[in-house]
Amino acid sequence: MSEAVREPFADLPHQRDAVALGMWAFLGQEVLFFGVLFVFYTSLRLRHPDLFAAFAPRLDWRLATAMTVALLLSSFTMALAVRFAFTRARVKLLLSLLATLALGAAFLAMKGWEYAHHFARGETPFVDLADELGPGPGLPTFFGLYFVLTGFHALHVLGGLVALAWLGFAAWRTPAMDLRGSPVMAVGLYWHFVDIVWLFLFPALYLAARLT
Amino acid sequence: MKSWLTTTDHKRIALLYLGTMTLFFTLGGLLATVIRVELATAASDLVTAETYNRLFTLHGVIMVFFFLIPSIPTFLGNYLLPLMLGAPDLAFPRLNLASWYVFVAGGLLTLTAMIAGGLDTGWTFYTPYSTTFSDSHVVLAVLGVFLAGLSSVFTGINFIVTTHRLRAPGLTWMRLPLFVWSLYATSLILVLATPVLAMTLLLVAIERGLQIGIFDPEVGGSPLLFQHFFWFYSHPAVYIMILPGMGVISELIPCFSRNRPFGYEFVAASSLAIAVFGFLVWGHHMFVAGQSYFASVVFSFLSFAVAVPSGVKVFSWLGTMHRGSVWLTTPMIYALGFVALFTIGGGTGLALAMLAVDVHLHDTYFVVAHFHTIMVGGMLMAYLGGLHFWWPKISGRLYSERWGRIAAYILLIGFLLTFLPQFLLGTQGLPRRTASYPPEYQFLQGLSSAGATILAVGYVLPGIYLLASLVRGRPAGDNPWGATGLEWQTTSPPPPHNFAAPPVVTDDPYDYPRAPQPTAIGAGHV
Repeated sequence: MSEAVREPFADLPHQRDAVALGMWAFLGQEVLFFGVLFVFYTSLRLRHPDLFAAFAPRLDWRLATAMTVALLLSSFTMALAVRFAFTRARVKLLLSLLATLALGAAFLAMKGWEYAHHFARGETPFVDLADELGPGPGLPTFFGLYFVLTGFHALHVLGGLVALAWLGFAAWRTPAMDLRGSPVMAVGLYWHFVDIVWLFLFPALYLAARLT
Repeated sequence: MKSWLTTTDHKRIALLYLGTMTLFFTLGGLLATVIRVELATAASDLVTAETYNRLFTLHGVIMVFFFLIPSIPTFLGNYLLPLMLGAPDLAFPRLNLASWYVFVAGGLLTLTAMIAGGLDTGWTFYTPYSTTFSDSHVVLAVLGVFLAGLSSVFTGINFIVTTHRLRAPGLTWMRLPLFVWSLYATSLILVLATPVLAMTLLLVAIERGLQIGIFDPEVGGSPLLFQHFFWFYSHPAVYIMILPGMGVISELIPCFSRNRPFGYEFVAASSLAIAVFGFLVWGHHMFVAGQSYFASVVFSFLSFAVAVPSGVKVFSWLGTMHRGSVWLTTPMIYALGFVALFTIGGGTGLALAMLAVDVHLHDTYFVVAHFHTIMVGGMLMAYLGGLHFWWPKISGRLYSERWGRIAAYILLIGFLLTFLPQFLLGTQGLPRRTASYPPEYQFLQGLSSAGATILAVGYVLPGIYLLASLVRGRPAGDNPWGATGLEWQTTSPPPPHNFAAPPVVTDDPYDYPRAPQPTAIGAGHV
């Protein structure tokens, strides 16, 4: 893929402008998509604050802080990538894309380790139907919320990594490619958005017990 | 064949959508036919109650998600938006094709659910029935609807960017055709409401598939939360369905009244106002579901507020015809039918938005009659009106005007006979979604079933004479109706990139006093 001007646009700025608007519209729908999850969170927390007091301390806020740092740094390298795409500094672009990819992958690795850790300790979202006391709101309810919220976010990170890998591969294989246009900028907008979602998830889940 | 499946031409993709949606409409119609046959007698003698649940559920799911919501935007909108803007294509042609594939995939998943044993939750998927108790194929069906929603989001983004970035030189916002305004307002709802349904349906699938408590009160979830989420999308979805229809009517009435639209700016703004208000009224579906009285009062008031921009549109249509010279062609008959039926549907909507009245009418046939009057009487009339209006542009052929008028009148009569009795059934207290009913409702139910057969004839007829026109119809010429609008300045059907030379707009739309003479008259055709 070389960054030629595509139908139906007249020139590169026109196309870049349209792709940016399209990505913003897409992010608008993403806000509503995640909005459902945050309303779900609010509803559960208002109705069952006890669940948060009891189970939120089981989440590892130190690990989550490390994940936050990884994502914030990745946003910085992503911003650099957008800049280097615009100035046509190919090697720097490749390096910053690679750094973003590595930081995003580090986030997912920590997330995966954390999931495995919770499962090993029996902190799963699955309602135990064999429980003699009957299900009732309890540990699975809180961890259901935790896994659903962080799971959808992790899937979005994964999607971002695929897009970054694709960009990096295209830039590496076609040295002459002009990336001043839309793709790096569009992926950059998406990547920053996914980071921002995490910045809400981090205090909402990991610091919940400490704030009350 | 391959050139069609890999096309990025918005006109061809629109026709792919037309074909797909016609299939879904036929399927949904057949399901409705079985429902009406069952309801012709008081006992449930044709199908069991369980089968009846599956019938009305699939009828609803298919008609709402695979016909009503995509119909005008993805067919007429896809075809006409670039033409009306003087653009060679939509902003993202490949995204447009992808939206069709995603739509087809969603349809196939839903059909798989249907063949595998069906779905019995109603189109509303209410929890905890859908997540815990139903033994039907909920997960397959909600994933199918999720994909249909994704396809809607693609279309919405494409329309928004196209309208902002690909208008012809001189085509300012206040020169946009009213259909474009309505598509723009619709796209805003598509992009901002659909994700809420998408996530909610995924949560239903997760809860059902993995036994996670999200909406299940047994484990701390809230079924009311599901209803809030569902209607946060599904009430604006009503405006996704009706707004493009209103846009079509705002094109038909000026053309066939040979008059400028009355209050252009107000009609344009009313589309946006309906889109915005539409987001604030979802709670009127939950008056008896246990939300607070205060919330109900606010939702009731806001629901009344939607009537204001809707009323602006109705008065604009009437004002446009006033002192115009009305030309009663097939599309105009549909337009007049729309205005009358939309007014009935909207008025009964206000009755349902009243708190005390709703307690009596909730979940009765009155609700069924109300939304079918908006959807079938309003939206489908507009769809058929638009189809007949732009058919000569799309196919390059004129259809039989005589058969067109006959079919339009048959549809109107069939519609009134089918759904007016249901208003009466509702006020008399007959609940909806039951296969059998007490014998005192027999007469009105029979009347409704009889009307449905007439309605069916009205739907089959256009299929016949429109297809026949492809073979036998006279060439339409560029502008058979003498209409304004850029789409009429190019050939019928338009060439691959729409215009031989990029058009430049120098004047307001709807300059009907100075519009060209209709050639359909000159040919002695009408």
